[in-house]
Amino acid sequence: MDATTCEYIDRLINIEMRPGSGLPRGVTHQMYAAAREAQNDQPLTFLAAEALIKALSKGDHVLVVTGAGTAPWLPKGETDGPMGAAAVARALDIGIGAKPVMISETRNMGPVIGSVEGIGLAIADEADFPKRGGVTVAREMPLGLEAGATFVDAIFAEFSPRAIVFVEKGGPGISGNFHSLLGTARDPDDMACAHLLVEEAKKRGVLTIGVGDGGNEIGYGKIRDAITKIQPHGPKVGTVTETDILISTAVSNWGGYGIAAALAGLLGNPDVIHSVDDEYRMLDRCIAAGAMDGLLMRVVPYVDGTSTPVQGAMITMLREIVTNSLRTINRDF
Amino acid sequence: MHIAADAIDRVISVEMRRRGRERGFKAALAAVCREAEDRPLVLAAAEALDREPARITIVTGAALPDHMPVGENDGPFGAAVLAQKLEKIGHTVTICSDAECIPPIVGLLKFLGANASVLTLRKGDTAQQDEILEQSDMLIAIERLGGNPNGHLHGISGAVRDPYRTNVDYLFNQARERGKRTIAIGDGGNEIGFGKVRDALMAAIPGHNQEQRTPCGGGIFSTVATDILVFGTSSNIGAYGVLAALAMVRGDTSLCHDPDIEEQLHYVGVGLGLTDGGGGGVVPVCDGIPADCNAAIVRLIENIAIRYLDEPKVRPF
Repeated sequence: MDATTCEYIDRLINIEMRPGSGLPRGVTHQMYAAAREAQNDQPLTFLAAEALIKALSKGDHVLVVTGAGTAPWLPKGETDGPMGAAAVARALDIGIGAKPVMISETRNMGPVIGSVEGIGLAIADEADFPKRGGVTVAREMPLGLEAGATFVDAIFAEFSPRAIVFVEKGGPGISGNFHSLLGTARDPDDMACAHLLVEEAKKRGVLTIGVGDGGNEIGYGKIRDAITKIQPHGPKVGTVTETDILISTAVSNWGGYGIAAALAGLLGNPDVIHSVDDEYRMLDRCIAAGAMDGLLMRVVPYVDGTSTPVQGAMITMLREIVTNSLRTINRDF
Repeated sequence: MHIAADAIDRVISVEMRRRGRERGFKAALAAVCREAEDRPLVLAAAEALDREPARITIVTGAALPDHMPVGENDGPFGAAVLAQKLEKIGHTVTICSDAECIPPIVGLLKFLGANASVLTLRKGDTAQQDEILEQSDMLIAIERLGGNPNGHLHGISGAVRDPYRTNVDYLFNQARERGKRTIAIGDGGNEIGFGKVRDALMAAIPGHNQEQRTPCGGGIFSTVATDILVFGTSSNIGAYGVLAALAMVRGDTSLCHDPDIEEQLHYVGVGLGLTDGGGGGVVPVCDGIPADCNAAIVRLIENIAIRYLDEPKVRPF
């Protein structure tokens, strides 16, 4: 496994294939190019996997933060986010033995729990969590800045996390409001203010990784100038929250899968990236818990307008890239 | 359309190779090919194919005694699927190849229910190539070796292939002189078509030319140019990308290749003796990538075309 393999992974997870839905198209590769330029022109999944392996040892806590969408359109959030977060949590559990803590709003927690259980992580009670692998705990982050700050203090006190991964987690724009990609504003009182986790992590030197696909998600503060130019509503919606590493991708879940694939390769263990069957179970569980497709706004097995078999195809190809990186071909003609 | 077609160009050029062979060069090849065209590569090819019914000749096939006795599966799959779909829009298709490669191509056409005729190429027979030209309105090369500056054919690692393949440089060079449209689909730089970007390849990835490994010293890059050059991670995948673009151009998703058929083709290919050019076995693998993974790529390509042709659903927030 090497950086070349992560070039393959980066390229695959940056294929834009969303439908024409009023959302801007043709922007994915521009955002990716900007993210790369801002990060020493290294493959982004390589940077993230390498940093996670360096930061985390067996038994260390890692916060995995996700959840996007508000009522009335996405009352329990969307399918993009929870599944990518679950894949990262699973990868860190299997690959490193780290202890993932899932964080989301109360309204989005059902699909987050559905996703982690669907991919093979059980929700443990407080007593069992430290004692075994294959489990996670879920923590609901309250809405608003004030309650959020109290929560951040408590979560750092309880877990002393060594890393935080944000997947499709909205961050505030320059006005302090949160925004949809099309510029609809959301008051901080209606959102989990997860950027407060980033601020605390920075004070403590804790690794932060942001995964997003639009420019309004936590992490994109790193390339805010580029977002203001690339996204039609960029100046308003581009978040100011910057993480140590930013993964820009076509669909945020795929960014999470890309991290899992890169971890699988670097750790030499193909099982660190989940299987196609895991993917289908996870998507079923995620929508059964009420998550909707973020573009279609319905409880259907789609992610950002792409179908179930497309998610399976993405996993098939990622697994192929990983296994190929771990074996050598011998053709003598 | 350009945005979706560019996405297809990207997905068909994702490299997934194993260690042990040259790695990490396909993105550069893809970029060089794209720079030589003013639009996405698959779109350029699709627009050329979206024409009044025409006589289209496809040249493919790569056999090698002992190692790949009836040829490799990269090329024939793409050629047969392309033939099947081009017939759907009214074209008359002939697939040309070396004698050893013809039986499996016939088998693939039969499996797909395609009517294309086949023609056996004769080595060193320029008159035959003149004849083919007269009977063609358009020519397509898929994974078909093209000569280097010294006119020699080479495998990707620099081995000479002249004794085993009919050289069709004349056919494609003449076609351009006579104003017949030519399209090439390749994956390595040593095939027909890459003459279009040879100088740029020499500048971008000179090491990949491997002069030192070719006995004549001319390297593997082909000098034979075509009007349009499409790059794929394998040539078959490149052909499927062209079909998805054709589906978008004509508003007909049935022109996309089907992922399930793609998987089946690999097994049919095994029955016909076709070899995986990646590992050298008669296995359901193409250029080192197994059937289910190639089907996955076809799924993504198809999805891009379907999503593009979908009724727009406008999100209100």
